Amino acid sequence: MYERLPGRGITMKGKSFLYVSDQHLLLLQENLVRQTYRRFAYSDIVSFQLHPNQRQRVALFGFGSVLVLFGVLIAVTPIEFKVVFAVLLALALVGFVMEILRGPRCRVWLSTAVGECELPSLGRVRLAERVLGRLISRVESAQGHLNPDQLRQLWPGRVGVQAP
Amino acid sequence: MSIYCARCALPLPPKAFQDNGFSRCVCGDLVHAWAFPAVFRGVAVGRNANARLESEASCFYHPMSRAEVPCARCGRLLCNVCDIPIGGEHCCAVCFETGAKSTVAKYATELVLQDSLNLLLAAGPLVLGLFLWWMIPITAPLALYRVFRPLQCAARPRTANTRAPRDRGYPGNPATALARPAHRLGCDEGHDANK
Repeated sequence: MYERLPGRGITMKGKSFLYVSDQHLLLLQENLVRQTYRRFAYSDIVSFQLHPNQRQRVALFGFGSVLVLFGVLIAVTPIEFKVVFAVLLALALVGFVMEILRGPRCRVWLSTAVGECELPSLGRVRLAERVLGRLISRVESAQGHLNPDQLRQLWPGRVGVQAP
Repeated sequence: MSIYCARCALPLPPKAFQDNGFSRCVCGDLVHAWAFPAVFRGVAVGRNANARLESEASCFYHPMSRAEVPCARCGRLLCNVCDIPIGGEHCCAVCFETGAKSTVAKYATELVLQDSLNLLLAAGPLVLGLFLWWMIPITAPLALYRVFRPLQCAARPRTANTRAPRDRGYPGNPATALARPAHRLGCDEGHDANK
């Protein structure tokens, strides 16, 4: 039985979702006519990486520009066009507020011994941390916890590096 | 042994694995990472094929390797390298790709959404209206054909050639399995893939 995790990613290949089962994590990508599955056994997952990025600022700048544009258009156009631009401005305002409320964006990668895979559905830092918390507990129940001595072995060649 | 940044492919800094927040990678990207004991396990090594002696049967795909098991679906003799164990039975790579993968849910890697495809064929030109309306006489019958074709396959009497490979089991004589036309195996597999 699969349980769907929160979050939905939209990529060039289509929509992307994450499902969890007892043994593995399922990455589902679907477009109009095809679903593609990738399964990652909890015992095979080597690491998760979360990279916050600046895309939220770009999106806010875009929404802000649209807001200013429609504001100017409302001010300079005749009354019959003001209603149309007011509706468009309201939509842009909703997008602007939603972008702020959903928090900063990020990209998340999962790596195994043979490769890496991006998880597009985890596109927000807050959501990703919440979902990864659940996934990490499942992976650790399958593999155990990496203690500091083992973690220190990941940097054998670096003198003076303090492992966490 | 190390864990590499997904952006720049350089080793991640140790601070990235701390619980209390983000660290900056060599590439300048902020990153927070979690590592697990599987990092020390490495990649599992596969089995080797045994060399064939003069009197022993050879693998269908590797003539110099000794045959260990027959494929449960097509009967071809397989060496250790070609053998794919699925739920207690042995399968060759060709049968795995063409049949077994779609009938065993946990091995399926993709699914064609036939209903969505049919709906797209039938309603797509209507939705796009202005430019593609002339395609309706082509796409509508095609959609109907795609809808009713599986029913036609199901209604056809089952003979030795139309039966699904999974029902047949090991035919006993690999030579007869190899002589079977490949195009006659597909009908029932399509049904299974749609379920």
